[in-house]
Amino acid sequence: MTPANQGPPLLSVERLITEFRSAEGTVRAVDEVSYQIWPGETLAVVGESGSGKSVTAMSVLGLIPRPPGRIAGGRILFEGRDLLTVPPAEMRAIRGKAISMIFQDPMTSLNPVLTVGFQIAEAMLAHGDMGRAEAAERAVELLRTVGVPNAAERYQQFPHQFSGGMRQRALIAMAIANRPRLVIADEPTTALDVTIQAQVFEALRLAQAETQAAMVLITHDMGLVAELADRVVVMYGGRVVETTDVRTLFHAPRHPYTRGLLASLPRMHERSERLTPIPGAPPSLVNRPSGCAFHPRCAHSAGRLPCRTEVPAMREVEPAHWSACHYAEELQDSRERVEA
Amino acid sequence: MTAGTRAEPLLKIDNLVKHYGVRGGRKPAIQAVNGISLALRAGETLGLVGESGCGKSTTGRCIIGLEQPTGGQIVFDGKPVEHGRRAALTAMWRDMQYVFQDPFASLNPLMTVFAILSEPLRLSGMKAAETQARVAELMRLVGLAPEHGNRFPHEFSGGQRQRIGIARALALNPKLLILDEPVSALDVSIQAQVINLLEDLQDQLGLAYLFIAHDLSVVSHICDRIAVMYLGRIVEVGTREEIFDRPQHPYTQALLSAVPIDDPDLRGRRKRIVLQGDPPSPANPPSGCAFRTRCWKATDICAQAVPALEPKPQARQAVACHHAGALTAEPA
Amino acid sequence: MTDHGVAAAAGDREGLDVKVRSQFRLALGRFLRHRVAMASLVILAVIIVVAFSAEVITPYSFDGMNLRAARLPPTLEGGHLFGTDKLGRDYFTRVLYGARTSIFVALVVALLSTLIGTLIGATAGYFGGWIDDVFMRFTDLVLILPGLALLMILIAFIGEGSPLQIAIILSSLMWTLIARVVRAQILSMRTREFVEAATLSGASAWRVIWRHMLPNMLGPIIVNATLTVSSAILIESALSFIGFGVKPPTPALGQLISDGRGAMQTQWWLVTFPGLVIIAICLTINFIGDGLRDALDARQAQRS
Repeated sequence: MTPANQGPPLLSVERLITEFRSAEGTVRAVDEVSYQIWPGETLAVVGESGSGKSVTAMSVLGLIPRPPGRIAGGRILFEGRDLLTVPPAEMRAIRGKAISMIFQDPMTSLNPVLTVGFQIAEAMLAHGDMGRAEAAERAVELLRTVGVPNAAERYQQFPHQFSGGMRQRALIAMAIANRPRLVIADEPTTALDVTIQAQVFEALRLAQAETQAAMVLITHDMGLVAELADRVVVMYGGRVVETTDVRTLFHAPRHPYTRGLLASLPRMHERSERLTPIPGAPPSLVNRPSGCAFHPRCAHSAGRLPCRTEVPAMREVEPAHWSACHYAEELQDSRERVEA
Repeated sequence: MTAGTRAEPLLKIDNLVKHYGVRGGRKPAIQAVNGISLALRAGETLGLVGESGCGKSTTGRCIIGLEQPTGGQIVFDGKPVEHGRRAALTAMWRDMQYVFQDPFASLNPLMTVFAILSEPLRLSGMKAAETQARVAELMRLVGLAPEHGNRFPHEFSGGQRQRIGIARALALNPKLLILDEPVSALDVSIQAQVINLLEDLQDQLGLAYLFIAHDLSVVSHICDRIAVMYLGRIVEVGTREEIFDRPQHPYTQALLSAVPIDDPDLRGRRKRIVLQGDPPSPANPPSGCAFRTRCWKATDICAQAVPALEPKPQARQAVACHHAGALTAEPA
Repeated sequence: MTDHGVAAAAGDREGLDVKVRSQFRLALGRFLRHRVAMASLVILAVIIVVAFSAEVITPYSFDGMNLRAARLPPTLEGGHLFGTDKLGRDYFTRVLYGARTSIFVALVVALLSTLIGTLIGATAGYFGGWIDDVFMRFTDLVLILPGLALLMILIAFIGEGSPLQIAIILSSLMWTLIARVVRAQILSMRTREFVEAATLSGASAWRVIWRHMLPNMLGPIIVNATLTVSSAILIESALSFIGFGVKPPTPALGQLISDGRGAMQTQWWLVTFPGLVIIAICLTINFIGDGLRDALDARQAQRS
């Protein structure tokens, strides 16, 4: 199922720690997070607000505002090089060429006074060695690839003449313009309507087919994960709690948080009488619970001491299935999720 | 509960119209709501779904009187809603309340929870001692500890804040709650808590809900009947089963098929209708059927006549489509 | 690209859910850390305390003449720190009493014009429609009136006035700024969900404005009231300077400058000291206003 766990990973985040200074003191938004992504695969990073999923990605891109932010530890290896030691000028070159990104709000990512086509062509001119005419031609082609109708005409238009879904597609076109090896998409469809979301999924799929780029998909939407991801990293309270391939994650999750999350979702075609929520609320970073950050909400912990005192380490509970739960073994067979 | 025994629905909306910017503006009016009719029985949950800009929130705001409708009639609990008369509205708000989407924006940041919850009670003339008891009761009802009444909104999480908003709406024992995207601003793991709370409250208090949402999974879970809106009109209305299992309108079909299903085994095995283009602007809706510009079934008649919302021979729900029918034809 | 990234990262930091203890305390903390504003506050406090305890501080009275000690330059002898004027009145004492008058006028103006401006702005903003049209046209009218000329006419009409009368007249023209600020705030707040929720709870217009809107816009109101204080000081001084201000012998700072300007060549202290006090008051108040705006605006940014 996983495409290529053999061979070196394209990106390897290792024990990354990112902190922010705030009025409350230093908060650790990302706490020893590790994950890998191999060439060509789609890795979903799932979590709720405050889980650290976006901050991790911003750290990879070198876009943590400093101050108040600070990378306090770990390594980010991209094709074998540690991005944390790359000089800023070179980092800018990597960002936008080898690694590109798609943000949640397409309006803030496009310059309102330049035509969309110009901005896509510009991205290529800044990083490639093609001529202006060639860049323009390829920009139209890219717009067509991601499903923008009348691409040649749209090339000439300004961002405000694009609808939200159209803008997001233009951003996808821009993100793949330089044939990046890694695309980081942060909640790319959250701000969009359902029918427009479907269009953007298609655009993402087409873009990935076109470039064979690996994609880190940051989202809270389990439906999107099921539709697009190969492997999944689940984050909670600034740490990774579970990682495995997408089918195993949905059918045999081995962390109580993942199980709780899946059980709590209302489903269109399963009308159980009552939803099974996770009690409580996600932890605030200032006031993270001791031990396992999930223990106050955990249905499985039953107040056992290690949950409250020891931070559980990630363990390979089955081949290629990692979980940070002291009692992951107990979750082996019992499938909490009610099948229809 | 008493209204349920009567034949009359609790809420009846007849040809509601809301246009913005008509007054002497040079720009064309925004036709936010373009003649919708609905009925809601006591104790029932009616879902109003559609994408942003379809007019679902405007409909809710017109019903409760936060907006003045341009046309149409709304009858609540046997009495026509008089949008111009403040006293009549204030009286109506004892029986009809609103829950806002954003639990951060809907609570006054400078007031304690007690002050927020006691406001409707005191304004309705309740004595201080009685108010104290009622606030505690309300907080317990929505799953909050009454001791936390002296805290400020920012000391609560998003889900708890939404509970406070619900408690405020329940203060005067209303018959109808208009819920405007009540869970869409909440974290995934919290949404289920609030949905369960809403269902419990409905069971205990016999409330009717008008549930405005764009998330079809949530709607399918909580609603008895569902009305699907597109560009200011209702395109299909029926029971949950009718809408979700046997949708007849092409837009409903597309909407349902666009929802990602959280089962990786179904990936690629499900027919997905990807609509072309974007919804048209409500300032300049297409002639005839508003959906025809994105519809794979559209023919000449769709541009000429607005399809009436009526039951079709093959289905029990009302559908506003010239070519209504089960999903067989492949979208172009 | 970098800029978008930073914006997005900053956006995500809201997700950190750093709990705000109390917005007021945080704003206070930010103000206390604002060094220029804090220094200004200390200086202004000293000026005010000294001015209002003039009786205790100086042995002289503001109109006590001593022709033998006339036209003394600043000297420690006899404690004439700021010298004396041509009638031998202790100039330090006169400046203190002058500052007292000016500060009193300015504070009353700030209070009154904030009150009037808030009332008019809130009414116009909340009710909108023709009420808004009428109130705001009236505000515009007051705003475009040639202020100084009108003041002179009004003051000529009542004759030379007491400090309170001067303050009332100034207020009648200086509320427009606050009216506009309050109106804009009310307009943006009218569609805020907690305000709509209050309306649905049965709160009257007055209650919605008073309980829900005004407390949430105290920041901009306080900042603008502060700025009004310094304009009032300046305008009052200007009026006194051209002889339309507070009636002598009650000293006011502008009037002292006016009286002393004829002898500026020979008795520099007569103009210099009241001038310095005016500058000190205006500068410190403006810095305090800046500090308040920074402290309170940050609160606004954090909430949105």
